[in-house]
Amino acid sequence: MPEDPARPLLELKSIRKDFGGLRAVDDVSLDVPKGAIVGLIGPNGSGKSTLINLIARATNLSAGQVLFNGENISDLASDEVFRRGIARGYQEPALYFKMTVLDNVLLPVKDQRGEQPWYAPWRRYWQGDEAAHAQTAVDVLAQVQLLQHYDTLASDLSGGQMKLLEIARCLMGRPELLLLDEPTAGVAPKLAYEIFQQIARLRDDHGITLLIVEHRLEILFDFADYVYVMHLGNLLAQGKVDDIASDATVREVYFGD
Amino acid sequence: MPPALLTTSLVNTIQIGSLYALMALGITLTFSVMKLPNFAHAEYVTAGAYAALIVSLSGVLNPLVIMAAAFIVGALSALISQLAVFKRLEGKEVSLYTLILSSFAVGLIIRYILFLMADYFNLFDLRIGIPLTIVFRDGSLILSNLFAWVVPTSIVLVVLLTLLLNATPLGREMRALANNVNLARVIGIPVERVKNYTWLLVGGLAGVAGALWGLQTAVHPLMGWGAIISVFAAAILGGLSSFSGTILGAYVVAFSENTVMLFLNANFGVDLAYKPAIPFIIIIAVLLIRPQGFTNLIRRAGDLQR
Amino acid sequence: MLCLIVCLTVMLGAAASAQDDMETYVLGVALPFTGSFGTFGQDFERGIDLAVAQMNAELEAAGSSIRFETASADTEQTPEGAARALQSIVQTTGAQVVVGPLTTSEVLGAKQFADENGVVIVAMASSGAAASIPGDNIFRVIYPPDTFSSKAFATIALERGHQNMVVLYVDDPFGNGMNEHFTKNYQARGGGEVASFGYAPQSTELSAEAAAVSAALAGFGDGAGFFCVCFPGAAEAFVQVAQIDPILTSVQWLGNEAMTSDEMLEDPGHAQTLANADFVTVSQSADVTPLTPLFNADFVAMFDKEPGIFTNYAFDAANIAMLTMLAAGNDGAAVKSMLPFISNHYIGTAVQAFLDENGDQNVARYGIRQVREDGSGFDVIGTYDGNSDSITYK
Repeated sequence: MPEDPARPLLELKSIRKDFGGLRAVDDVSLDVPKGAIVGLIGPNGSGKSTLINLIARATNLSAGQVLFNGENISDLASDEVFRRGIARGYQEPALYFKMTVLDNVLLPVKDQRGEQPWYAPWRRYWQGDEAAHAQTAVDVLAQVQLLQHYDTLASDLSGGQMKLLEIARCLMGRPELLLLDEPTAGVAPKLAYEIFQQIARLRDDHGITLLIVEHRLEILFDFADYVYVMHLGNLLAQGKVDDIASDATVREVYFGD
Repeated sequence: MPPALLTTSLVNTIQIGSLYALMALGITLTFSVMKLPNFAHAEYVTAGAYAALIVSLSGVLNPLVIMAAAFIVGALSALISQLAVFKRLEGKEVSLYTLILSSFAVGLIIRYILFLMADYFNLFDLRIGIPLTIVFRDGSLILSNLFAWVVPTSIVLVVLLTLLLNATPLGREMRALANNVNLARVIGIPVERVKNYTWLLVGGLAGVAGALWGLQTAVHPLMGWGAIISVFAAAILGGLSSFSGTILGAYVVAFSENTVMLFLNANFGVDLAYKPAIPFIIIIAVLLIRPQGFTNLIRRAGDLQR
Repeated sequence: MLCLIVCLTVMLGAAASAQDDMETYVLGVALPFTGSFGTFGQDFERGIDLAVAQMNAELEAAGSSIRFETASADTEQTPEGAARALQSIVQTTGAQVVVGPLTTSEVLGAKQFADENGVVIVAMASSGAAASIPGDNIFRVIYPPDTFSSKAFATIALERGHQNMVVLYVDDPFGNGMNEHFTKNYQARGGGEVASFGYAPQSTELSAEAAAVSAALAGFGDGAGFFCVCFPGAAEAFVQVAQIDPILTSVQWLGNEAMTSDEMLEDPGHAQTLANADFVTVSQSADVTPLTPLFNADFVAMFDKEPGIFTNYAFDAANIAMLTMLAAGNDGAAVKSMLPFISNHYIGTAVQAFLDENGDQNVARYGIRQVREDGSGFDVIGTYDGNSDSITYK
């Protein structure tokens, strides 16, 4: 497919989601340009997390289309979406808590030889691959400063470390787009800032595009390029950080003043 | 209880317990990874035994060839039941009860296919043609070649399975499925493929167990079904999630059916015909008193959901 | 499934005989088509089909307006299954007479429904003493009850010099009855102690049982004998574990005929074990009557295979049932009243039928068979006449 450099990486076209009688997302269209850090903000219940779930195909669309690199991914299964290059993090970290940090980041590696039963019993067929994957994993873990914990059970990490581990796992899938749902929820302010520094580096060093749902606006506004504001399932406003920060409607909805 | 009887019953406990362990591990693995209490497991055992019987009737008496044939046939019957039935039901998000009932149905279908085959070729109550001999004798301690095959084979297979789960990429993904299958999908683990591989392993182990069980008894379409309650009791003792717990459970069931049963018979006149009730008693007792079985009782080293 | 078989059979039969004013008598067939006796059940049904086909051909040639047809159902080899099978046959076809079921526990399972609904059961191979009940609707026309054979076993055990006996028996009405009557007769004739072990009918693995038998034999010391009352399958499973037991392989064995199957001798280890144990069984005599070769030839002509063991008993039972229906009409009460008279005038393919007050076969002529020294087969070494309680050796 010929790449149109001006084409956004992710395009939502009039997407809608109904839960029974409740319209959680109502006719939202938005673009995420390649290489950008895009913030998605709004009060609780405004439909942000639902939007993330729709993009990652964790729930089905009621109407509309999701285009990724120009391809309609609205009907793909979630592991297919992952394979296309969309990874996601959760508000509550979703990890394999009873497995080690290293195991957690090795799991998403695509097409491993050692996952086939006819190769698995013979180490020499896959230990080369495994060493390469482990090297990648070590690099990724070093990036998020979790390397010294590689043999720890995920359940023994702190809340912030769990968030970082989730990001590290996303990186192992070499995603183009990373969807993060409140990466700093429940994390100490200092660590929250560090997490965003890591996130910025993902974009700077790896060219990963990010769509981030975040409540800590003061941190988000330091890092984001562009912000969408949602309210009651609708897109209320959008613009550069400075414009949004000073937008009167946004302030009214968001801060109640 | 005479000492000779005690010795014999303990040898039987080890021998039969090893066979139960081999069968029960598959049930634990299926339940952990696929969330399915699979009663058709009994039929993979029987299918493996028939494969072993047919190979031995064709004149090949090498135990390794016989067990390989049993592994392949058991693995294929498990994979076919996944592809033809269980996978489709998962897609429909049916309840656990529907899954259990469907596993009974799958088992019945396989069992009666074997019945038809056994009837046509007249293969009832035959024995796999490896003659039984005594390999060690010291007083009342008598070990047969069957013991010499069954116990090491079970131990080797259990060790290999544990290594596979803990030290290979396939095992890592199986453990991931056991813990959280939805997350596995989201992070791009090829869930269906891993499930298929797991079925191959489960069925293969059951098939080998069937070949060995066929040496212990006689090959009949009902032989796997006859052992399944004891095997489930072992798996339930293991909390359906722990390998070490399942193995311990298998020996506890075998010990109860042999040594405890004979002790009760010799000292309290309890009729041996109550033997089939023992696994039921164990299942009910576990579910009432300690539903998690041996899980967490033993170090979590053997825990599948680790 | 059960209903389907019944309905299908009846519909096919009805379609075939709809053309003129035929009178159709339904002969019910309740047998285990599944379970470990499934092959027996299927072969027995062939024997019954042969009897019905021959009878219909004769009726047609004679210009009779009566025809027989069968309605069969699977007893699943359980008492409950037998009751369900009987009920399903009777309720869907109105059958008054049912041939079968096979084992004593199935017969007893079907008994209540038969007695309450006036349906006559004609069993061909059940021998358990528990079903010897006067005045009920159950007739066991060919195979004599185990009250006879238990005497034969007890006599042989004493003649072999066994001062004490260990019995392993299947814990169902057949095995319990055999154990009880054997113990009673053995001790009444001067035998010593009897240690009995029941195993559950569904058991497929008998190592604990073998260990218990071995320990009991060791406890008795020299001169003890072993008597095995097993079903097929369990018999092989028992010998499999018994063959390496030093005590079980050093005593003499008696056993029921399930121990003498072809499968048993196909395994060299099993054959050798039985040979070492001087294994002896007592079973219904293989005497021939003028009907025996005819039956065998007709069976092969119709089904292109040899009849299995006891299949001729099913053939005989079906003939007695049909002859009685021809004489008494298609009515349960009339058949019940007349069946002893008819069967006492019937020459079977194996033995003359002559019923006692319980409706059981009262002609008890058994063959005594011993395994050959090389384990290649069994030889008839004598006969036991149950009516005079005497053994004659060849």
